[in-house]
Amino acid sequence: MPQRHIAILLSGLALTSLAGCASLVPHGDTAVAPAKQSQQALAQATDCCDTLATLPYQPLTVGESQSLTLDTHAPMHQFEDGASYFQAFELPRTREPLTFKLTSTIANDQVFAPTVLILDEDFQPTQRVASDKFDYLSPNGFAGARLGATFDITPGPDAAYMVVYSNETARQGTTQYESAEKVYARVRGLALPPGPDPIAEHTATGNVTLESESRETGGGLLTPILGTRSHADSVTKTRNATARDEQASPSSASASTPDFDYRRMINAALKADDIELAMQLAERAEREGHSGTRAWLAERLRSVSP
Amino acid sequence: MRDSRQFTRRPLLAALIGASCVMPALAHADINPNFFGYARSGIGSTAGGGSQTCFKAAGAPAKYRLGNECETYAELGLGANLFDQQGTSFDFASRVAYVTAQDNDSESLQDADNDIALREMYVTGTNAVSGLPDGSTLWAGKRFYKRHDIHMNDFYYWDVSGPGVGISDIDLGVGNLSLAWVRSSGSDNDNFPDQGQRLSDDTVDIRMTDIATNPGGSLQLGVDYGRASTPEWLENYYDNNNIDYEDGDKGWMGTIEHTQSNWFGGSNTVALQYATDGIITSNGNAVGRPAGGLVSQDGDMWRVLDHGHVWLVQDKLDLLYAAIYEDKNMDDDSGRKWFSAGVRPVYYWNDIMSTAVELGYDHIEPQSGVSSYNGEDHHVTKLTLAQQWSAGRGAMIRPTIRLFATYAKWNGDAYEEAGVANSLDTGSGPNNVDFNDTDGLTFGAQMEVWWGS
Repeated sequence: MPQRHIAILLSGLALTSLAGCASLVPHGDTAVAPAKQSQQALAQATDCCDTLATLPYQPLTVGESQSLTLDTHAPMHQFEDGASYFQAFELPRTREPLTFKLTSTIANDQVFAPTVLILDEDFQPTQRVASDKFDYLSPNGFAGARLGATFDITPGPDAAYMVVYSNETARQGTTQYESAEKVYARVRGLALPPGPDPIAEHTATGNVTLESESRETGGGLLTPILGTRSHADSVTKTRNATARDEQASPSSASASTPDFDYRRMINAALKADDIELAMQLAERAEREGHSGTRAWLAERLRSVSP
Repeated sequence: MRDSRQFTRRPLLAALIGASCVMPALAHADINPNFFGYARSGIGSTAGGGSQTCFKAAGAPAKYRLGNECETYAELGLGANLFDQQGTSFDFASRVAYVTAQDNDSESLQDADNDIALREMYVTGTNAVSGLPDGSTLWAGKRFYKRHDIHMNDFYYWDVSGPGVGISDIDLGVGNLSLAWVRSSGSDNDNFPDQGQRLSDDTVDIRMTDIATNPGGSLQLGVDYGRASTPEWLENYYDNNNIDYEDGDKGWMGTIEHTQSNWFGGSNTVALQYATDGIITSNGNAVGRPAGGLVSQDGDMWRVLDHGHVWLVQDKLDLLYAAIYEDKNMDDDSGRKWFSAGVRPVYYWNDIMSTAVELGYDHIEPQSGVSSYNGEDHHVTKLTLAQQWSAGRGAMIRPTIRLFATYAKWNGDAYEEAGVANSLDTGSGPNNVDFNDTDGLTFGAQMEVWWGS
């Protein structure tokens, strides 16, 4: 009887191995070949556009999570720092502060290391979220290993467009990551899988998700401080959600509330060392017609700095 | 230029320590708790009436688990990085496990079949001992210690968890050396008139891991030596009553394991184990620790197993598989041979929905002295079909919510009488198939989740 079982066991193992040889695709092939293929495809792709002004910009819908197509079918442009597939967006003209979360999933030992470029109304770059600002995020049972960054943009003349791409320097890099199996083993107190952690190549294509939300709908820091005014805004916007983008054009944002003391709030934020909040308040004050608040804050910061 | 990005395993939480600071600012450290855990729970019924029966071959240490788990089980863990400075870090971890029969809403954890257990409470000090290679970790406290399991049938084939102390992952170049002293006390209720006399069962665990063998492959070697540490007064008692404890209270186990990564998108593990006498766990699936309680357990055991995970079609179809042969040859003929094999292919319809099938087979060939279950050869085959909704694709991706139907077939009567096993084990949940049934069908729903990082 034992011999029979051993025979079954061994033949099972043999079958598994043979079946593997016959029909399975070894992992190494699937991982490396597409990386090279996408790089080659990128090298052969033709530039979609002469200038940044002619990129195919899509309107950005705030409050949604969207998966960006960054494969070999995506448009390609020769950016200043290298050729790349990209996706480009026109930011809403609401001038409300937006929080963006960009995540790039690691799959098959590959990841797209994104750079985010913000352009002004004249399509000139004004801000950049470089690829090294993206943190490695470990798998946690709810999401796999990924690169991610969260950043705030207040659309306006200086921030009218956004481009997600990957520059040549970033593509030379790699990201070492933990497999979901390893994190699972740690969480369950199991022996960790042996061997070094895998390394993901930075590739020309990848899976990137862009989430955006209004800082006000997210509540966050501003709601308790801005109080009723903030509430009024969000109520109006909820009631007429479709008209939201058009409603708050730059000129319409000048209706000010005289009883709201932005400078006092900024002082409080500075006292709490929350410069980010202070800057947001200044931006908001400017939009509400308190012109000069930004300059006043800059002066305050200058006097605070050593 | 390669701009390698190294991840940080745990958030660096120690307080900001200025360059001029001489004293570590531990008192001001922020605690950033790490919440981790695992849970499963659900509901099920047996066709023909009654709540879900779970099918496990009597005498087998494990059963194939998909659509075949009858309890709510959870582990809730809390830990924190408490110190991280100049390459040395200290981490704390704790874990409490809960199990209930999932019979109703309010289930007391004191009732039969329900339990709450403190499973982990320990501190690790990475690079705490100077002079050792980078990564060496000193630890003390009770913990899950480098457990080796087969996920598909929840079988832990190398598990010496318990209170202990050790130093792990000393990089010797050829591999990593780990040394541990752990405890799994037993009680000698059979031979000692005052029940609950504890036998201090100590195990010394020595293992070399990460021995590179071939591309993507590594070898692991381990030796466990266990003995019951008996106080003098207890030995006197045994001597006076002619109880043989010398042979039974010791035992050792050797393990050779090879793991192949980059194995068709997953990994394969093959292990060979040999164990003697007191270190053979008589029942249950936590093998590798002393028997505890049994002062006289003589015999030997060997086991060979292979298990793994492969992608048959990348991102579309994967497969968990396992095969085990174990021969437990006890001098009092209470052992058995166990053969087990199972596969779980899962087809992913999209990122969320998948269909899983699990086919499992267990065969038990008892020795002549077995009386607590069917003494003849018996076997159980189970087949489960499950529709699953998960947070992604892959065998270990959770959370998952699944609807399942499980059919099982076995030879011989299911039970001898109420609560007494024959071909089916009686301790795996409600026994709601008839005594003389030779097959059964169950259906239900279950969630499974793990989290943490």
